[in-house]
Amino acid sequence: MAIGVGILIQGALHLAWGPISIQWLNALSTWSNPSTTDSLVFFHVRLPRVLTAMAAGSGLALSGLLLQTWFHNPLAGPSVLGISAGSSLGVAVIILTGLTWGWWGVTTAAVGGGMLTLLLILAVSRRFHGSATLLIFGLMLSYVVGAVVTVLQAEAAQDALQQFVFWGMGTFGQAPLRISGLMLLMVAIAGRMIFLRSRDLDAWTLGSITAQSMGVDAKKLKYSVIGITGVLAGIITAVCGPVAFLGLATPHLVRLVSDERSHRRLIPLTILMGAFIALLADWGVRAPGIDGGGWPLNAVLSLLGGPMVVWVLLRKTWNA
Amino acid sequence: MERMSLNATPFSIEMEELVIGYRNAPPLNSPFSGRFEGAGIHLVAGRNGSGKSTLIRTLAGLQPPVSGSILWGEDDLSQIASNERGEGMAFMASTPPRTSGLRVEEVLELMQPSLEFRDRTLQQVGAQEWLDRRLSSLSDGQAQRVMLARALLQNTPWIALDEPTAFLDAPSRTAMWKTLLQLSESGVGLILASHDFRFLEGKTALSSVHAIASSGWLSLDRLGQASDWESCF
Repeated sequence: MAIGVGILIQGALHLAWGPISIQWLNALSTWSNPSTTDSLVFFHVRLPRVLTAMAAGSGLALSGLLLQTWFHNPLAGPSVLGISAGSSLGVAVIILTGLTWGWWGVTTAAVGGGMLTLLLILAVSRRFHGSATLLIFGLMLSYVVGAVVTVLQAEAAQDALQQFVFWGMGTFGQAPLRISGLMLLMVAIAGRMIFLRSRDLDAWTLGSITAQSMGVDAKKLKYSVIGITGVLAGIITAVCGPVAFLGLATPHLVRLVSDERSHRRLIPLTILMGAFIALLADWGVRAPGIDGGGWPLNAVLSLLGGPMVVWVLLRKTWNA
Repeated sequence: MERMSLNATPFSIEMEELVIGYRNAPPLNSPFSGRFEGAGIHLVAGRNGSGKSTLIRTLAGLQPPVSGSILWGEDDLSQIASNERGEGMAFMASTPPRTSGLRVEEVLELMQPSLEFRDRTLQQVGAQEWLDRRLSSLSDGQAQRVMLARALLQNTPWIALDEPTAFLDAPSRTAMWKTLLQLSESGVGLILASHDFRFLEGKTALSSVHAIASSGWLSLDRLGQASDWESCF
C-alpha cells in the first residue's frame, strides 16, 4: 500500500520535474496532436522514462525473487549470476559487429544470451554445494563474457563502439513510449503467470525434494523460472543496458520492510518495490544532470547495491 | 487416467531388479527385488553410504532408478504424473528446511487441509503451539515435527521417511518414535530408513524389516536382537 503510494508520488514528480518546465494541462490536452513542446516533452521524454523505469525495476526484481527461490540462495539475481552479462554479449555481438541495428534484433540477441547463460548455470548448479559457489560461478562467467565483449570492442568501428559504451552505462531514458508500454505489459503478464505458481514456489522453499514429494512438477516450475527470468532480464537489458543490483537487492528490501514470506504476497510486493526503487534511483541519475549528462544509472545502483550484498552476507539468516 | 485407489489402504510397492544411484557415479547396489505391503512400519536399515536414503527417495519417485523398476500397485512409478505421485506417498527429509521463511501456518496451508484435520494433526505431532512461528525460528526438532505434520496432511496411504530422528536430541527422538508408532496403527504405511531403530524392538507395529547389506537385499519379518541383526550388514 505504502509502496504503491510512493510509486504514484514519485511517478508524478518525475513527470512534473525536469530541465524544461511544461504545462500539464497543455501536454495532456494535446495528446491527439503531439506537436507542442509541452506534449513532446511529456509523451516522448518523461512518460516513457517513468514507464521504462517502472517496468525495468519490477521485471528485474521479479527475476531476482524467482532466482533466489529457485536456487535457495539469497545472493542470486540476474546481474550476479551473469544472466545480464549473457544478454550483454548478445547485444555486443549485434551492435559491435554491425549486423543489424533493429530493436528486435538487439532484443532477441539479449534474450537469447541471457537464456543461454541461465541454462548453463542450471546445468552445472546441480554440482554446486553452498551458496558461495553459485555466486563465484556467476562472477567468473561475467568475467569471461566481459573479456569476449572487450575483444569485440577492440575490433569494432568507432560509432558502434560509442553506442555500445553508452548503452553499457544503463539508462531508463532511451525507450520510446510504445516500447516502454510493451515492457510494462510483459512484466504484468509474467507476474500474473508466476503468481499462479505461488504455491509451487512456497513448497520449493521447503527444499526441492520435499516440494516434489508434494506433487510439484519440478520441470514445469524450472521452465517457468527460466522462461520468465530470461525473457524479462533479456528485454530489460536490451532496452536499458545491463542494470546492476536491482534484481538482487529488491527482494531483500521487501523482506526487510514486510513480514510476508509467501509468494502470493512476495510477488506483488517485489514488483511494486522494484518499480519504487527504480524510480528512486533515477533521481540519482536525473538530479545531478540538470545541466547535461547526469550520473550513469549503474554507478548509482552500485552505490546502493554493493553495501546491500555485504549486508545480506553479514546477516545469519536471510529469511527470518 | 485409470488408477488404483491411491488414497485407500497402502498399495503394494514392488521393486524389480532395482539398481539405485546417481548419474555419473557408480551404482550403489547390484540388482535386487523386494516388496513392501500393508500398513505399519517398514524399516530399511543399512550402513552409512549403503544407499538407504537413495532407496527411500527412489521408492517415493523423487529420483529415477539407475535401472530396474518400481511398481506402485499395478502401475510403473516412472509413468505416474507428479501430482498423482503426491497423492500416493508423502515424504519427510532427514533435515528440516533451513531457508524457508514461511510461518508454520503457511506451510500447513500448502496442503489445504480442513481446519479440523489440521488441528488434529498438529495435536498428534505436538506442534499446536507454533502456528505463528516462522519455520526458520524453530529448532531442528520442532521444525521436523512440523514437517511430519505437513506430510500427514498430505493424507497419503504411504509416508516415506529418511532418517526421521537423525538430527534430534534424545527426548525429541523418543517423541518422534511414539508419534510414528501411533501413526502406523492408524492404517498408514511407513517406509523409513534409520540407524536409530532400537526403539522399535518388540513392537507389533513393525511390519517388516529390510537391510541393504553388502550381500544384497535382506528381508525379515521381525527385528531380532539388535546385535544379531547388525552383524548381517
